[in-house]
Amino acid sequence: MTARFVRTFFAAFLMTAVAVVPIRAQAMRKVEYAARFDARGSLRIWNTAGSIRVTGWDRDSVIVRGSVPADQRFICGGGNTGMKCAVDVPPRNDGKEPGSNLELFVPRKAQLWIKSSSAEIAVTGFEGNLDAYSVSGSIRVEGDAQTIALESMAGPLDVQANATTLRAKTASGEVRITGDVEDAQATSVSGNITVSASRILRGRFESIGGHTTWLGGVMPRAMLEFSSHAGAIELRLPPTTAADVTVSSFEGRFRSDFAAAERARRDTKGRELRFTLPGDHGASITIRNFRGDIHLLRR
Amino acid sequence: MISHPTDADLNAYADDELDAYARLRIEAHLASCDACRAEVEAIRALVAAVGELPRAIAPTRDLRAGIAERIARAQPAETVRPRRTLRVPAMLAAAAVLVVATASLTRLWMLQQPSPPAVSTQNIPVAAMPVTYRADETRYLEAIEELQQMLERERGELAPQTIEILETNLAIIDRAIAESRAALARDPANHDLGLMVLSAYEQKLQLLQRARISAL
Repeated sequence: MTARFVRTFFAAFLMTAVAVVPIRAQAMRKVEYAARFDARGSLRIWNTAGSIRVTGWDRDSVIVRGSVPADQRFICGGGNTGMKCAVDVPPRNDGKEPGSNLELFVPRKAQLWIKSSSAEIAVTGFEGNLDAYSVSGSIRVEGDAQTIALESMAGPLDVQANATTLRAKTASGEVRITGDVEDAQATSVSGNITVSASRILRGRFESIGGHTTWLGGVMPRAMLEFSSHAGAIELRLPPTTAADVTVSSFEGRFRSDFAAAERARRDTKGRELRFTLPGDHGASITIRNFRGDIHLLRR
Repeated sequence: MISHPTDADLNAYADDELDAYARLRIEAHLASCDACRAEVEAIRALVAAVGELPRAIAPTRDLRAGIAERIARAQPAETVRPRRTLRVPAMLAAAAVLVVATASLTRLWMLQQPSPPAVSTQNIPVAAMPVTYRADETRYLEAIEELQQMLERERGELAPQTIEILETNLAIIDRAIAESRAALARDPANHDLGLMVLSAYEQKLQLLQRARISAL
């Protein structure tokens, strides 16, 4: 009885697979492109849906390979110093068609510009300047980039890279920063921001309704600024943190397990608390929140 | 112990080259830092001293006059309009009209959306903006209005999903602006509230710019 059921089920599965899968498989075609390219050249990539994977390498050339739906055109061209690669999506695309999957190898120190609607973007081993935009697709960056500028409407932004400058902006996507960045700015409207980087010298993190969580260390003389309207701001600091701290809270609650903060709270009547976490070469930490809570905790 | 703004920031502040948000951040620091305030005063004194130098040293022969005549002969006469200047009351009136117009346009735009916003600002009274921030707010409102008009024209290029994300987040920002503006009206001397209002406007501007990129 059971064996018969399994056979019937398996047969039905095979028939379905035969009926459906080839349609999808036939709809895709392989693409490949290779060209010499300047080590610091500028490359622009468009791909509406699917995935874009970029790997930086130590060669003076660009290689693109991947699969593209049969009714979409893959275009790639340009010169040694500037190149564009795009998937030309026919008009009236409703976003439900299968996307293109592109894998690119580019000179490590190139200037890279990527735009997508829902494609997953992943950049690894890259040391140049990166500018990436997506509406709802995720953007993930690993490596040692010079500057990283990421924007999304709802897609998550995940930076596991070291960089001199980072700008991450989103409406409702999540922002995660875990690499070492000298100058970092992250803004969101409703998405959460989580920072685990420990070498930020200048950092500004702003959200309207998303939660902001700081899990990183605090560099000597760093300037860190956190601002929110309704999202909670939580800083989990090493116990040895030295910093001048200013906290402005209007309608939210403030909680801290640092003794200096508690003393300041006892002695202050206004909405702004100023206190010092003692130590040499202290940082400056400013926290503003309108009605979200503020937590300043020991890690 | 205190981390001071960089020299570049102080120079940019003294030269009035910073955006509103950055300027207010510097001002917040200057309020409690004598050293940086003195530095800014020194920069301004230098700028003033430079400004008192003669604008030009007249050459022994006026070469410019000849050049001007040749250009005048080569080009048809052009009507030069006098530069229009608005007096302060007129500017305030214009700003007020702009605020109302923008609010109406925003409301109209929101009403045209297929679904209602997730949060509403209807119950929050519209507060008057303190004079200190009025010019900055006007600049933001102008830029926001311009972007919203562009987006309206390009609406057909935006995916429904993008419109949904945009309207949800615009509603969140508008509520934040209304709440912090109301608080600022009650406490106009509060610098942090001013920063929060301008920060929310900046977020709105950036959100609209971001949405527009997807349409291009």
